[in-house]
Amino acid sequence: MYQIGRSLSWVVKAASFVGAICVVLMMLHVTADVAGRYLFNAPLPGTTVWVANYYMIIVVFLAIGVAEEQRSHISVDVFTDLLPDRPRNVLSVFATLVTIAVVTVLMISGYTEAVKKTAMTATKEQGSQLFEVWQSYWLIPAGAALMIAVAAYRVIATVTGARSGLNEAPPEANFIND
Amino acid sequence: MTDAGIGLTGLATLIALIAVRVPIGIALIGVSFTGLYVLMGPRVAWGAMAIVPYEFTSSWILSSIPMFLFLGFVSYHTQLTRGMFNAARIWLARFPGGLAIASIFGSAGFAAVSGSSIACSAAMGRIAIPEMLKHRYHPELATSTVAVAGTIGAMIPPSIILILYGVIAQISISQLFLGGVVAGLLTALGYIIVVLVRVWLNPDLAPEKDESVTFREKIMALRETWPILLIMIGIFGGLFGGVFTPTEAGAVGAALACLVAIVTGQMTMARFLTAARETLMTTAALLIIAIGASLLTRFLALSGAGDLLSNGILSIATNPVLLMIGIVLVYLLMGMFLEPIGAMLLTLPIILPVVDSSGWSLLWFGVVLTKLLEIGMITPPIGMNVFVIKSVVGDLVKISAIFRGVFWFVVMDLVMVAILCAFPDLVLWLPGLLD
Amino acid sequence: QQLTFAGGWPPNSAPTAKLEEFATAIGEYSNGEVTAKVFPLSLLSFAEANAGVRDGIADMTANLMAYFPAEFSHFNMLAEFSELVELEEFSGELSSLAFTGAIMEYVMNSCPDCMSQIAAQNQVYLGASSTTSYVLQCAVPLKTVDDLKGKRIRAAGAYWARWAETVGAVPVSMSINETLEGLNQGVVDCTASNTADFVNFGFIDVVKYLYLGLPGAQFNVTYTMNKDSWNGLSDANKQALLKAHAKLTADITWVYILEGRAGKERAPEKGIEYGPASDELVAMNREFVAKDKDAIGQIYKDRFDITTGAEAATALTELMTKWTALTKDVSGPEELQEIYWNEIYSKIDASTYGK
Ligand code: NA
Ligand code: NA
Repeated sequence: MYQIGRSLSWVVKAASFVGAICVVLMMLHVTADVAGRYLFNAPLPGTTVWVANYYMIIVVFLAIGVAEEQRSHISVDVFTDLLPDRPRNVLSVFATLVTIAVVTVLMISGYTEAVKKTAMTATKEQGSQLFEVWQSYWLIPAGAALMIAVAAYRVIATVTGARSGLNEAPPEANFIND
Repeated sequence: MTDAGIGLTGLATLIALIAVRVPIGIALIGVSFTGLYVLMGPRVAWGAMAIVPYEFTSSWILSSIPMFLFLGFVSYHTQLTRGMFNAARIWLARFPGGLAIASIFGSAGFAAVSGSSIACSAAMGRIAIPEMLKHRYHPELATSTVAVAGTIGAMIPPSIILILYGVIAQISISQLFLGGVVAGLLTALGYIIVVLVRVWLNPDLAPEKDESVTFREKIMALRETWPILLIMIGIFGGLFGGVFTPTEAGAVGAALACLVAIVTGQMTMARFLTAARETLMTTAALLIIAIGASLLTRFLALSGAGDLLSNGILSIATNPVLLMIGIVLVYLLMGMFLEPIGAMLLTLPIILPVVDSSGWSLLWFGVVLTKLLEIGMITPPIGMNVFVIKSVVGDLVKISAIFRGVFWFVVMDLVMVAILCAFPDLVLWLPGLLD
Repeated sequence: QQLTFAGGWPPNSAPTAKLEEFATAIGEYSNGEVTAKVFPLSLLSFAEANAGVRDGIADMTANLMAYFPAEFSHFNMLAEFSELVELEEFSGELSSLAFTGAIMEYVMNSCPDCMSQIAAQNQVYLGASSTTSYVLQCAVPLKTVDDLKGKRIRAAGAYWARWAETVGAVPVSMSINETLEGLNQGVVDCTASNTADFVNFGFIDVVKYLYLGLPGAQFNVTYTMNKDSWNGLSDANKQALLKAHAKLTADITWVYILEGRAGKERAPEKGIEYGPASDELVAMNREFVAKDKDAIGQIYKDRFDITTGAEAATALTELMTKWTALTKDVSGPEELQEIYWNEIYSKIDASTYGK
């Protein structure tokens, strides 16, 4: 059980690294486009497509599993904190089960749409060029699957009382998240 | 059950789910999906889930959110913001409560590179509170001042709340930013007045003044402010000089902050990656709520519950003053418990049609709304800025003491809201000027 | 039966008002058997409209097919031929009325590929409206072909980007909502936008020059309906819906012309130079169009393996001749509706169309 948690945590770490790289790439890509346009009258073709259809989708959907592991999803605990431990833990398991159910819907619907877009070889137009975007649709079911895996592992670990292998303490300054 | 009945039941379920600690975004998505399923059948529900999350997220305009967050995190982790506070501290050394006022100035400076309120109080809390406690300031004053000054971070541009509002209300983001400038500066001014009055009434709150500052020290201190000033000038100069658009400003600003941090020698790989990771998680946590709110809009529209509620509000609040008081009360109440962006996204589908049909300026309302939402950041029981400060000071100060200290600032905030309502031109003249 | 129409135009805009009239007309024409409710922006954005109607979130929509290059390659190729309206024999303030008629007639009668593409998206094609022509709206003056070199021009789609590249300008992709600020602050020198957007998006407040006659071409708004919703209607009610669409296509096309006129009237008081581009520029543009007409077919052949480009260009040119004659003296939307009904919609067999 602990080993499963460790491997899951490793996958989350990898997703987090890829996402962080995309944050940096987004910055560099847009800055290069601005510089190219302003200084050399030569904007980078496809910047808005790359930013919207790739970086944004990766930064959000690959990261929802990371946020789940580190409990960064925003929730309201003012009422549950008034409860004694036991009912509070029951509600916590309930909330995670709801999360799993909802994200499963997201995963399935994301998957069916990705299949359609792949069959279509979906593209987006920017300027006079076309850019393929169908690949990016797969990031939604992939990210959702990671989030489900993390949440399901947490429920099982909580209910069985097993030692969790997840890395739940976020790095420094988690409270800066807003 | 009627369609509108299904819509209202959905809203009630939503509130119940949020209360038992289901993440806000998940609750929104779950209720919208189930609601659409009951109302329109499986095809529509699955269809909406297949379309909205991707289409909402793959937005060029929204990409400024991670970029402005990154700018703020980089500035914070590489300590680019420290110099601003130091300079204010030295220049205001002779004033009663000078350090507290300096922390407000510091926050206003940090606000110009940070999109969010919490980042602003966290950054300034670590820099300013130890300094104030060292000079025997009353902990209540020291902590509460920094907690409230953080809210300036969401008023003065860049501002995540204003970006999201602009996207949803379909109005110009740079116009909104300009509207936020005056409201943010007025907020800072109001807080300074509160500090001065409180210290004047009770000099023990801020006993020590530093009389030994020399002119040379003052000049030297100004030299430390260049990193933030350079980034600010870069962003606003580029925006109004035709180099880039507001959407692009976040990315260019973040790149500029990275360069400046490399020059000051504060940039390390670890800090850089921490800033990027925090950007990633914050963006995901915010946008999953925004996606949920976007789905809820469809559900409320199709069920007719949105129209029902909007019309209900309009028929109860028969004149504009009453309507505004009602809106203020609603947001104060929600602000007690909810996180501001969640609260905004949750309510805009119902409130925007009301505002629109009242003939109010959407730009002005966006700024007032931001102000109202930010009050929620400092009111009990859930006041995120206060919690942030608490985590900085540890056991030194009780959380109830910080909330107590916040009280007079909240009164000032309400006065400020009244002023902004009475004189909408305060918000509108700057955007009008540069139109 | 109650049908829903998801519109991507903002709630208080002129097109949305026309959608409301369209909804009322459906009720009238069907003797109250079918009603329609319009959701302006609250249900589906333009980006979501295609998949939304495909999945039945709304029954009908204004589908901006240009957003979906792969899904609607045939339609998009035809829409690019709207550049024909800039040729001397077709150009004029009312050219969008003719192009709307020409493209609808071609799609419904001569484009089986279009019909299978729309069916693949689980929808039925019920008509289209064309915006007014795209013109250069600039902060800087342009007199000669050389003046265009290096100018940053906001381009809304492939045609305009290709045009900008060919004339030596720099096409810039920018969302329509950012364009006003982009022009104001000088991120771009010009926008290529239609004469209605000149007013609707506030460009009238920041540009100093508006040059009619280039780069030309028009944006095509398509009206589509969920296939199952369509086939759930009786033949009589389908007939009523076709009739209402004759009104909708006429009304929206006309509304763009009215908005364009309003901009032209307000331009002088704003000190804007509003008029035809110099002869040199117009001549260059017509030369571009004449060549590009053949290039379009080749581009769509390379990208999507479409082989009907040349044939469509010829057919649409002929149709434009017919439709320019039919619409050149039209004075209002009712008259236009009548023409679209008589020439196109009345000839559709409601019992087999879109089955
Ligand atoms: Na800010
Ligand atoms: Na609160």
